[in-house]
Amino acid sequence: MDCDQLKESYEAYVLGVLEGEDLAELKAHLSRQCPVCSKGVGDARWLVSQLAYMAPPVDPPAAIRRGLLDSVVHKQKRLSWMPAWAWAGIAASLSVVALVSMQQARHFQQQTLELEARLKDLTSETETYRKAFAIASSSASKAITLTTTQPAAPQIRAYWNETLGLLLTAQKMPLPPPNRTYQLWVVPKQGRPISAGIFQPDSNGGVLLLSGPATSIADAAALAITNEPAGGQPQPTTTPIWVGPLS
Amino acid sequence: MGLLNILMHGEGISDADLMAQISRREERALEQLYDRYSRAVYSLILRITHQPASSQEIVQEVFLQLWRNAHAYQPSRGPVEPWLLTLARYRALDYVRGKTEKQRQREESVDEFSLEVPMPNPEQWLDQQRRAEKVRTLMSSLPEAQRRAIELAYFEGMTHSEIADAMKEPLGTVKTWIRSALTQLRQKLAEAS
Repeated sequence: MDCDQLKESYEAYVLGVLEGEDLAELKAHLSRQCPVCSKGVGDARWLVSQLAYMAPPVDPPAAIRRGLLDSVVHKQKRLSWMPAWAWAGIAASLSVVALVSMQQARHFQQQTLELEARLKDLTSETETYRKAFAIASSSASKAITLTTTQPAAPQIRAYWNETLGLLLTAQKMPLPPPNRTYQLWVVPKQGRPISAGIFQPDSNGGVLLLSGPATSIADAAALAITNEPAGGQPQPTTTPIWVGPLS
Repeated sequence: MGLLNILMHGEGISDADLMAQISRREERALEQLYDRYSRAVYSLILRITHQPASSQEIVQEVFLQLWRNAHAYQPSRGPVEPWLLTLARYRALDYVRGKTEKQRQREESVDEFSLEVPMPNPEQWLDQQRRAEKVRTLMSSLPEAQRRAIELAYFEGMTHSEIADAMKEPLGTVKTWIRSALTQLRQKLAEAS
């Protein structure tokens, strides 16, 4: 159907009596934004709205007016301390604040993660020092001095406690060559050396190694430190640089 | 427009101006608009629901809707009165049919002045009271069956077939009655005052 035919249905459509194919056709036509029919339907809306005056006139109870105004005034009181433009401004500001807050929150979150990681490191470090102090200060610990024949290389101190473990400390220890590491060995009175851990001095040459050797002090003849490939070796592959007898 | 409103309401302030004031949250403007149209709105809703208590709530809801959405009103899309009457009719029919808010949202919305209702010709803008009289005069002059068909459509929200079934009349006859009544109404309202 074209617009000329559809115009017969404008009022019926707005009134709500149109149905079936006629309704579907007019709806489809209107959905294509037909200017002729859109205007026609608009005119029909006005006409149909006038049918409201068929209703017998009745004065509305005063309670409606009071209720309406009470409702509006109530809403106004909650909002009237600032004009509408201020609310718009606040809304915009809140949006900015929210955006900034989100960025800050991400920043804070990152900082929190970093601090948590640092705290974890510090906690671990503290625990290491606490254990080291306990071993070094215990009268039950055996102090061992590891010496070397290399010139300018420092002596290294070790403290071995049967219960608390083995502590190795050093200062100004030279760094091993690239892709190499130091490895501490317990040399038993009988049998092959037993690894007690690998380590790297820090940038100042400081060393603090805690270990729990798989042997007892009584069975050990000496401690030795070798220079091994990175990651360590099951058995020493080089001549020990530092050696400390237990007897 | 100013002259028309003076003719319509005996006041110098137009509906569009009142809507602008309402959008600025001026309560007095809402009162004025309410005083202009509440009688028509309440009468329509009461005619549809037949329940005074419910009608009062729906009237209040309609005007609160107007208060909330006044900022969206565009005078270029049409006058306020048909929008109010259309919204009132939909709300009352929804109430009678027991529709929920969600169901209403799925259908054609008149809540935010979405319907375009072009400004009718100036000669059609008789004052509200005279238009109401013309409508009632015309309807009362129609044959009983024809008037009944229009009432079932407008106040009961029935379709052509439902009206035909209810009145036990041929579908074609019902269609003709309704179309003819609306054509006459258009002509009557278009007559110079």
